[in-house]
Amino acid sequence: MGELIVIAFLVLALIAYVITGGADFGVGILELAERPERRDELRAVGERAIAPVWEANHIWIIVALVIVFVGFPQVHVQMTTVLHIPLLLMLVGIILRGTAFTFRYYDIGEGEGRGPWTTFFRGGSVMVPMMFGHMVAAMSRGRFSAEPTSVYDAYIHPWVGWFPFATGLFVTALFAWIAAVFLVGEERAERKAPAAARARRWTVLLVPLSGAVTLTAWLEGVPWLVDALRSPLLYGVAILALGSTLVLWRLLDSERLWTVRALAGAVVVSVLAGYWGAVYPTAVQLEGGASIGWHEAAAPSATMNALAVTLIAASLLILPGLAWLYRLFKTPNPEDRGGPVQPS
Amino acid sequence: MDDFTAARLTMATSLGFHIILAAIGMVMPFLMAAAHRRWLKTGDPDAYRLTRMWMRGVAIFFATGAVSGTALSFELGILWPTFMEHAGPIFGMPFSLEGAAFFVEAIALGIYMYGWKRISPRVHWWVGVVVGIAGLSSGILVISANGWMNSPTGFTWDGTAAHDIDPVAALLNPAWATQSTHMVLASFEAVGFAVAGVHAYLMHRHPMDRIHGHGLRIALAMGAIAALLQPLNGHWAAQDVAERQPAKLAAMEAHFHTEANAPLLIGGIPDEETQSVSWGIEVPSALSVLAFNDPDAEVQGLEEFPRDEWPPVLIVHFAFQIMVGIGSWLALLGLLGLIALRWKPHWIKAAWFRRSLVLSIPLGFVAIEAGWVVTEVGRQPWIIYGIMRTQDALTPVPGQVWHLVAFTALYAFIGLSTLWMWRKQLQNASAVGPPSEAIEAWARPGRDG
Repeated sequence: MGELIVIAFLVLALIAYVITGGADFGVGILELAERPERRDELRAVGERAIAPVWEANHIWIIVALVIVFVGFPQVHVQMTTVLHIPLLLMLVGIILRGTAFTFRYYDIGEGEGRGPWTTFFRGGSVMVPMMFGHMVAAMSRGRFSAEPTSVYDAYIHPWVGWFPFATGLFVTALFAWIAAVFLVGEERAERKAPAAARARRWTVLLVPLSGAVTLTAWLEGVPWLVDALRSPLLYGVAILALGSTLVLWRLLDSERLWTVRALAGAVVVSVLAGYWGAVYPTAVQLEGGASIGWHEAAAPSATMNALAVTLIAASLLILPGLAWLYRLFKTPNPEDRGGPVQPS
Repeated sequence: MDDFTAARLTMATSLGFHIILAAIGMVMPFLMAAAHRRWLKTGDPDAYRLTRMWMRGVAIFFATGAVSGTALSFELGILWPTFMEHAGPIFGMPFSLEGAAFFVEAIALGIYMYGWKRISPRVHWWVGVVVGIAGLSSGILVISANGWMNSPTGFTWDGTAAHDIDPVAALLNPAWATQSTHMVLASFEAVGFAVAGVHAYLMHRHPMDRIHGHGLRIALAMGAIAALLQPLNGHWAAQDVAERQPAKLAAMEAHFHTEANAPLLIGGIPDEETQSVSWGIEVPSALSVLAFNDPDAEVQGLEEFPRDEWPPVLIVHFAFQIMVGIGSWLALLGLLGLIALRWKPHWIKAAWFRRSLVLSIPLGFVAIEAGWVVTEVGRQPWIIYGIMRTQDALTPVPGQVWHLVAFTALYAFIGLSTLWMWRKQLQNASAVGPPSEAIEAWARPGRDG
């Protein structure tokens, strides 16, 4: 029982990270993709939107990490050794981006000294989802070699390839798309139409990228793909994702802010659920067909039960707090129209 | 440089960087809440300005600390995968609870910083207190995990794997209480004196701005009380180490030979080859008293332990001397500070007192770093004391020197940037405005109540 609760929390933490943390990273990606003359304005909107909540958003990845290293130590060992390089690159991205955001936001004296922070913020915002995508793909594509013969074989070959690259691009675009959808509601009235158009452009981009992920997975002979394509689950979530996207597309211009955001959340949940459903219960697919499963890798039941109890107790404390935080700052407040919420 | 040395230096750099931010993150919210309370009670606009200034400090240091802490939680597994593979399921509880406390801290800080005028002023103040309590709790929990590495409990070990895991026993390991109280006091001491020193300097530069006098007094009181309690706590911690990790105590004291009426060594350069110390001052029987409350007690020397189980004596001894030296100085300064606050207010503005405070700005942090060197280097060669050697936990991934170079550069860059930014913030300190009418109108009910 403890084991299933822990796995449920792991999935929940990953979904929460992709939605909330993803939206934060997305703001940086959008800045990078925006026309230069519009970037400063986008930056102001983005900062206003994420400043009160971004730190809380990023704790989900720590929750997920702790669950993996406490509950599934063998999976953690595989991630930290075989995926050493992308993990370090992701860390560099997290460190640079987080500090850059803070420094850029709090730096006094308009203009000066912000150049490098802005570059690091945007660069980190792309680096993290790219590496995140590489790692997710690497764990399921079956290139972890049991008996590596070279450094390349052991630590590079498992995560370098077209399928991980396509997944990295897809995750990056997904994060940008989440941010683009969320920001529509944060823009001032006269900017709403261009913001909705921007969200639509990212929606369009996701279509070929999800195709590229499937195609590269097929070309690489990723072991779970054939079964997944035969399973009704995949079609269920695909229909859900597609349906939500279509409704969202129509509602982007409307005032139904939270419906739009909930639909974006539904898309993310279906994408992640589809992927999880396709690879579960495999945690790490090894070369030659063997694999490490979540249940085989699970820590002893005393640990799992203690972890489950901790997670449940902690969520009783944290979820109401998060709800309060979001209700305070993500509800449109007439007073705030037109300017960034400074920590006043 | 070999991978092992590089990995240890990377770990030391990451921890050494994070620990400063963590200490600030644990203490600044309480300073902020103290100033905030004063404003709510008295309506003094300077107390409000001080609150706002300190809030900025909390925000910036929390953000940087959150990022370096995230990095650290990954680094444990990146550098020491074998350690985490075995230790994770045992000492996971403090980490999962710490994650929860950290989450609460982030939420509370968000609500506090952006909650002005949005929530009731009384609730708002309490949210600020929650930031501090959550920060303190997460610090204590992480130290419990480190305590477990020093006093591993809650499992049986068959030489290759752990069985009969009891996560709660691991959480409440024998070292957690002494270590966490020592670190909490150290944080209040270091941050209290650092903030007091900064305000002493600013008070001199901007004598007309009353904000710095307020700031100095609140921070000094906090730092002084912690500094006076710390030696007592340190005594307790040392007795605990004497019992559980006699090799660490011997290295701290460069105590090579087992003897009764063991002397306390002040200063001195230990030589591991000849097992002797030159240039030190010995206080007769004092080590026996400090370690076991008995001048005739026998204190084990390093000679009792196999040569390959010695921690690096020179480093541990020096670090310990630095920590104790700074601790003693800050305790003295704390005593003078309390006298000044209570009976001799003119001392606060005296040049000698100001200079002492300004000189002490970095000292508490140096002592914290030295203390962690004592704990961590003193535990070597073990990563889990008596169970697993650090060498055996090392990642198989080659090229760790690049990891070291990249992360040292990264932390140096961020550290220097933080300092540079703080310089700018402090230069503008007097520009922090008094409360607006809207803020006053919002807070008034809270003040009357």
